[in-house]
This record gives sequence, C-alpha cells and structure tokens, in this order.
Amino acid sequence: MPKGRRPDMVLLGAILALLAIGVVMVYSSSAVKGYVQFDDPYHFLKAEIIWVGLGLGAMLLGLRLDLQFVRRWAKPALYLAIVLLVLVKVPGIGRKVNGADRWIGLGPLSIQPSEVIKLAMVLVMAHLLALRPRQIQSFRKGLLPILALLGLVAGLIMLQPDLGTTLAIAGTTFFMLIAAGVRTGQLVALAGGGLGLVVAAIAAAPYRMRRILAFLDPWADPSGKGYQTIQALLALGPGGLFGLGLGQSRQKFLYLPENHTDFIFAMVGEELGFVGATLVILLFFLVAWRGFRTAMAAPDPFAGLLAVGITGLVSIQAMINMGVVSGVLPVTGITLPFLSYGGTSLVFTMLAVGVLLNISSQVR
Amino acid sequence: MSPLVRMRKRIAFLFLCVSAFLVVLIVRLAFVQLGQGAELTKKADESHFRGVPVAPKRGNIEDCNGNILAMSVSSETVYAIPAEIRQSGRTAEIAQKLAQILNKPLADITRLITKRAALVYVQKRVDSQAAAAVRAANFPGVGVTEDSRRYYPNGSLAAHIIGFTGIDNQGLEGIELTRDKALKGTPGSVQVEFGANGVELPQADRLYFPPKQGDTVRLTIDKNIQAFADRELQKLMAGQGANMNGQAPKNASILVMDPNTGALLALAMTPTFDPNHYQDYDPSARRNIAVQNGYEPGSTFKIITLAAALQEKKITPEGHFFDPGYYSVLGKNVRCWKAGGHGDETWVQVAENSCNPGFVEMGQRLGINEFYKYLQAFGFGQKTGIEMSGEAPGILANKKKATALDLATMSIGQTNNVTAIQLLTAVSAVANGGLLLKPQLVKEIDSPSGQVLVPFQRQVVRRVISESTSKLEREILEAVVTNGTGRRAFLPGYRVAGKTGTAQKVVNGAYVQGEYVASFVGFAPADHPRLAVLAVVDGVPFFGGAVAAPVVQSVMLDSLKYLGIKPSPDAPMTPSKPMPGLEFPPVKKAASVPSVLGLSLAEAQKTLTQAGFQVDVKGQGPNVVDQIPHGDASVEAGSTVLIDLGQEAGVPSLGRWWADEDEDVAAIRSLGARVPLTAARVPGS
Repeated sequence: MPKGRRPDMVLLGAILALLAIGVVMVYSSSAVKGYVQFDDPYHFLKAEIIWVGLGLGAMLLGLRLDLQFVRRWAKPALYLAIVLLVLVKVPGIGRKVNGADRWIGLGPLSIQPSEVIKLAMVLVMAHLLALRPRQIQSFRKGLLPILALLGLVAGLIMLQPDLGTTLAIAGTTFFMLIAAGVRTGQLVALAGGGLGLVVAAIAAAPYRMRRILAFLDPWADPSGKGYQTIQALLALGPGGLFGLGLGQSRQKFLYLPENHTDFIFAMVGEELGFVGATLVILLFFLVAWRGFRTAMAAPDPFAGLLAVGITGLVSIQAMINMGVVSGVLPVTGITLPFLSYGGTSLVFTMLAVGVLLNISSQVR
Repeated sequence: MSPLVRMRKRIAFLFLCVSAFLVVLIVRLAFVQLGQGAELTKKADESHFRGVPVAPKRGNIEDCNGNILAMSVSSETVYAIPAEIRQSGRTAEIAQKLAQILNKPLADITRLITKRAALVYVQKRVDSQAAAAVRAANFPGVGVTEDSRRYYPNGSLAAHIIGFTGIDNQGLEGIELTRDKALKGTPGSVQVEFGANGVELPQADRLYFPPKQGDTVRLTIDKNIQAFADRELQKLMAGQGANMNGQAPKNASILVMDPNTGALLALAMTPTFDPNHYQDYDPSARRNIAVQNGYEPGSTFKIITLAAALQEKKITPEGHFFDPGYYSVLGKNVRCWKAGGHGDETWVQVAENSCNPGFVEMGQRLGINEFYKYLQAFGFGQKTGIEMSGEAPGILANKKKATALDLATMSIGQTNNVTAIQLLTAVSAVANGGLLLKPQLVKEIDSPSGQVLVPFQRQVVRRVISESTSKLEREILEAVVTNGTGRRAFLPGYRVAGKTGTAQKVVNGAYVQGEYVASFVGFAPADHPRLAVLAVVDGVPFFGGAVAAPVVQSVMLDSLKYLGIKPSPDAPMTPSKPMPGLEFPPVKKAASVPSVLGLSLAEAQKTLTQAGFQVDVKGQGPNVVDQIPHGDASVEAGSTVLIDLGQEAGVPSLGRWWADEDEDVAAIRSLGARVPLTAARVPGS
C-alpha cells in the first residue's frame, strides 16, 4: 500500500459490518447444532472467530500485496488451483461431504479448492483481458481461449459436482467479459449459450431438476424436495418487520439445515426481521457500489478488471445465496460472503476484498 | 470509444444490474416477511408446536329431571414423548421404572416409549398413586395428563338407552353413540414448542388451549318411572311375575310413553347389562329388544283394527254383531276363546270380550286395501325413527298376496310382525286424539353452563284418525279394562284403558309350540291420557295375558302417583263384571292400605289390624318384603292384605288367580300349523 493513500473506508466499513453481523449470526444460529452435535454451544463460534482472524489476516495481506506481484502470480495460482481440483477426486486426499468431493484434508483443517479456483480465475481473467485490451473484440483470438479456459475449469468443478461455484465463476467471468468490452452481440450469444449449458447441467443430473421443481412449488413436497425452501420461508415469514429478536430463532432448532452456512440469511430474516435483512442487502449494495466505483477509477486496466472480478464474485454469490433463501432462485449450495460460517470461503473472500481495498487505495 | 470509457460504461451497467437484483430481493423479502408473515408464522407454529392433548370432559347424560345417568369422572393418563426419552439416553432405566410403577410388562413399555411417534399414551386411567409416582420421578419425556372416564351411577338402569363408551371415551352404543358429537366436546391442548429432533425447546413457549366441555344430553326418560319398570322386570326374571308359576320368561320389555308428546319416560328391558362393565356381558344382553326385535302382537293389535273400523264407520258402538263361536274364512274357522261364542253383542261388547269373530268381521268389512292403509298410517312395517341404532321395521304380509284369511288373522294381531316401540307409538296415536308422533328419547341438549341448546319439540308424523274416533276408542278401551278382558290392569280410582295380547313365538322362521309372547298395552287416565304403557313378556308358558297386565298395572299405578296424577272422581272402584271363575266381593267402603314394607311381622300385623284390614301372611323371614295391595292403594275397607315375609324384595306368585281362557290362544289353536312371516319371505320390505 503506497504511503499516504487510504483504502475506500466506506467499502471497508461495509465489509467489516457484514463480518460482524456474520459472527453474531453464526453464533446465534449454530449454538443449538453445536450443543447437539458437540455438546458445546460455542463450538462453531470458537471456530468462526479463528476463521475471522485468519480472514482479517488475509485481508491485510491483500491490502499490502503489490498488484504487479499479484499479476505475476496469476498463472501459477491457476495451475495450483487446477491441481487442487484434481486432487479432490483422489481417494485419501479428497473428502466427500454430502455426496460431493469438495474438500481436501490438510491435518485438522480442510480447504475447498473451489474457493481457490474462484480467486485464481478472477486473477487470470483480469490478467488475460488486460494483456491486449483490443483483442477481446475478436472472437477467435480474444473470447475463444478465455471460454476454453472457463470450460475446462467449469468442467472440473462440475465433476465434484458443485453447481453453485460453477455458476459463481461463470457469472463472474461474464461480468469481467462485459467490462472488458466484448461485443454486445457476442455477449448475448454467450448468455444464450450459458443458459443452454445450465439447462444441460440440469438435464444431466436429476437431483437438480428436482430442486428446480421444488423451487417452483415447495409446498408440493414439504418434507422432501421442497424442505429447505419451505424451512427458509418458515424462518423469514415469522421474522416480520423487526424479527423475533437476536437469539430467538425457532427454525434454528434443527428445522433449517445449513442454517449457519448457506441459509444464514434466513436466520438474519428470522431474528432481525425485514429491517435486518434489508440492512444486509444494503451493505452488499454498498460493497457493489464502492467495488465497481473502485474498478472505474482503477490505475490500470488489470486493476480495474480485477476490481470488477472481485466485486462481481462477491455480488453474484450474495445475489444467488439471498435469492435462494428468499425463494426466487432454486436451491444451490453457495455461501453468503462474509456472513456464512467460516472456512476457506471466508478466508479467500477476505483475501480478495483485501486486494479490492488495495486497488481502492490507488484510485486516481 | 476508447476501451477505458467503454469499460466504465459497462461497469456502470453491471452495477445497475446488481442494484436491480437487490431491489427485487428487497421486494421479495417484503412480500414474504410482511405480506405472508402471518400465514407463514401459523405454518411455522404448526411445525414447531406439539400438543399434549387435554381431553374435554364428556357431557353428562341426565334424565328428564336432571338426575345423572352417565357422568365423567377425572382420571389420569401417562404419556411419553419418545424422541425426548431417546435424547436423554435413559430409555432402559425409564422403561424399567415405568413398568414397575404401572405394573406392566417391561417389553410393552419399552415398545411404547421407543415408538416412532410424536406422543404415545403409555397407560390410560392410572390411579392417583401411580400418577403421583410418575410425576415425582420426573423422567424426561414422560408426563401425566388429565383425562376422564365414564361412570354410570345407576348401573344397569336404562343401560340400553344410555349405551356406553370405549377406552377413548367415544360413544359406542345408545345415546352415547347417537349424541356423541354433542357429548364429546372439543379437546384442548398444552402446546409446547419442540425442535426438529423432538426435544422440547429451552424456555419453550407453552400455550394452553382449554378444552370445550361436552354438552349435557337430557333424556325424556324419568329415572323413577324407569326404576318402576326395572323393578317389575326384576320380579319377572326372578320368577316372581304374576301368574308365571315361579317361572322366569326369556326376556321382557316395558315401555312408558307420554302419548301427547311421543317422549319415552321409560324404556326398560331384560336381560340387561351394566354399562360400567359392558365387556363382561354377552353381546345379546346389550340387544335393545324393544326396538330391534319384532313379535306378533296378538290381541293388543285389535286396538288398531278397531280404530280403523271406527274411523271408516264400518261399525258403530251401538251396532250389533252375532258371535256363533267361530268365523269361517276360506274354509278355516277362527275360533272365539269362549266356547259357543258370545252370541249377540254390541261392538263395544265385542271389544270388551276381545271377541275374535267380531274383530275378523271388522277386518273383512274394511277390506285389504283399507286395512293396509291403516297399517301404514299407524307406522307398521316402517321404522319409527326412534334414536336407537338397529331399529327393526317389522314385517307386514305382502299386500299383493294377502288373502281374506290373512286379513282375518291380521285383524286379530296374528301374522304381522311389529316392534314394541311401533305398537306403543301407534296406541299413543289412538290415545292422544289421533296423531302419530315420532318416539323421542332426548328431551333437550344443554350447554355446560346450563343453557338449552336444543329444546324438545314434539314431532308429528301424521294424523291417523280423527279426534272423535280417538275419543270413542278411548271410551271403548276403558270399558275393556273396566268391564272386559283387560280387567287385570284395573286400577281402582283411575280410568285405565288397555288391551291384552298373546302371540306365538317365532324362532328361526317357525312358530314355537307351548311358548308365548304375552303383552299388555294400556293408557291412563282414559279421558286425558298422560301415560301409555306397554309390557311385552317373551317366553310365557301359557295364558300370556294374565302375565303382562299386572306388570302394566303396577308400573302404571306407581307412575300415576309419582307424577301426581289424581284419581278421577268418576272412576269406578271395582271392575264391573268379573271374569268367569272370578268373584269380586261386593264393595263396602274404600280405605287406604298403610304401607308395612320393612316392618317386622308383629308390627305389620298391628298396623294393618288397626287400620281395619285382615292380614294374610306368606313366606318366612324377619321383615315384610312385599304387600298386596300396595301401601296407599284404595281398596274396600276390611279386605285382606297379603304380606310377604323374607329377606329380599319380591312379589309372591299368586298362582292362577284367574282360571281363564285366553282369546289369542284360542285363535292360535284354531288356526293350526302355520308358517310365520320372516324378513326373507317378504320381498321389498
């Protein structure tokens, strides 16, 4: 960080506010689960505090990194991430959770390669798109190689399978392509193709179709496919305007699965009400606003595209997650940045926003 | 456009997209949290709250004066929440302790408390000691809740009407079944919030929804009149019935109706059962024979024949009929009970004498069409609609195939099959001025706070005969009791109208030889009837009419007095013309008999002698258990009072007081071997 320049304090404030809400909500929503599973209501809170500490460290690291140094590490990071993605499938190293190979065990810790690849992809994309700004106007020389890379990465992630991460990466890449100046016609075609791929992905795995159906009419199968959607609605509804009060969630008593991770936004809605949920949405709005503002004023195209990518990554994940919880999108396993219970996701998101803050401190 | 400018524009566009989506999210949240909030809260509560039901107190069944016939007494039920027990990890220990406290096999308890259910009842109706022990043990997931149990304070009294309830207090028979909805109330609950794993939430919300108590069903039955009827039935079954020669009948029923409203004041039958322990009785004891069994009414049915003939003006009271001793129809002679016949009689005398040929003549004059018209009008062959399950419609001979001989036998009450309730309802129509009423058992339904929810309403089915015909027939039937064959039901000082009857028993579609159904139907006072009583005694050795009339007489007398109905000043004190072989000493002066029940022999003798009566002693024992005539009866001064000594109550058999002939038995004999109507023989009935 160059001396005398301060990062965007509004952005930093919004991030820290989201993080604070996250810690409180993780504790509130995980106490029961912690008590039932580990005989310790603070089990998840303790871990969350460690993760937040790691995350803050990662953010500071991102703030201090030299952007040119970061750019040099773009490709190696991508290769590392791809290796990790492959390792997930290797028995003995990869850990299966909920029918998907998403974790790699490293002693007591476990990391999710898909979190690494998200960041690596943003980095590589920013690097490639900034390399020859006008080349992207050409389909064959600009767009095609990038799509090929996206295809490879997406394919690897879908092997796990992990539709949420794939969507996040694809969406972020799309954001970056838009910012980088890809022709409108090609963008429209790309969007159509992407939609086709989603349809194909759904057709390939029946469980996704069921989730879609459940999303359209969750009450048709309240104890089966529609369970999560319904339980989320049963958390949001009673929340009302001001919520049941902090710690007063009823749904956290094991009704709502993943309530401290993917469905933490439902807990916010239940305990803090419409007002609390809207506050969280507004904080994400602040992050998006200041993030994109940083991108517009970035010192160079690479920094700008990197800012777009990071902001896009955070925004898209937040939108998908909150969309799922409030029932406007089908259920997709994706965490809510800053709020969901820790893990690799939090650390890497914090690293990313550290870099974003870094860029914001260099705006012209 | 420079790449940089384009990039800025494109980023602005991206920001717009993100903002738009966030707005959509806020709108959606507003819809879910504010718009659907209440509805979703209700659904969430439904999934979170689990109720421990609090049973409502089942409403009482009372008699017409508010005497309790069925009531609920509180009891306690031990319940368990299996998930909570599992969570505590003390399943084995809890099962063992519960088995000990409740004295149930360990395996049963274990099976119950590990069942996959939100809530199980471990044991219903536990005693207070066990309930206290369970409460004191304070096991996780085990509790005691208030429940109630049905109790019938009068035992078998009116058991067939009241019915009984099952283990869950649900009505199974009788009024308990037919009025289950009103009686049962609405269960309340204590709602406790549970987690998805079935464990009660810490500081869980507890909501108490009080149960809505059941309504009171007040019957038309009068407990005392029902008891009079029961007493007579007990005498019969103890072999102490009048003229039964110490034999007990197979079964018997006594019905008392208010002929002006159709309200039943008593509906008693034997065999009977105690609804408190209904499982201990043979199901046949629970059969409501007055409603479910059909029988051939015999001469009691002549009331209907007479009503039809009078209404259709086929006869006049003053008209004459000559009885040669038989009536020849289609080559068969229907014999009169009096050898050689009654000779020349008025139609009133035909009725008084219960003269078979005279009634056959009435039937023949009416013809098949008109006779059937009245059968149907009086409700025969159809259910009366009384509020009891399994009512039999009775069986009428097929009209299309009916011959003149069928008409002849039907006119004297043979052939057709009726239920007791049908006959009493029809006779009530004759008595009350001509309106056929629906027999009713429920007087009103009261809310727990005593408010009348459903009041009694007389239900007129149709007019059957005119007021004047009814009045005429009342007089004739009074004459039957005063002057004729119904004398056995004569009550000094009261105007009683009535008719005896004897019929052949039908078992398995064939007449049984040597066993009869005796009946008597009567009403009083004859000028303004307040009570109509029918007694049907099944399984009488021979002269049936002499068995049922005293039963009706006894119930009638006690009921009239109980209801405070004053003797009529113009009523005769003795029957006018004794039956053959029966001499009534001339009346000197009326005197009231003092009651000596329960006194020692010496005391009773002293009391009666002082009152100017002769004393006749029968039996052995320390105390007077019965007396004839009853206490308070108005009899001639100086007559003999028979006192019966013994340990227990009962009526001594008087032997065959009246050596008599029976009009129905004469007819039955003269008709020879026949095949009775059965449901299978009557198509479309």
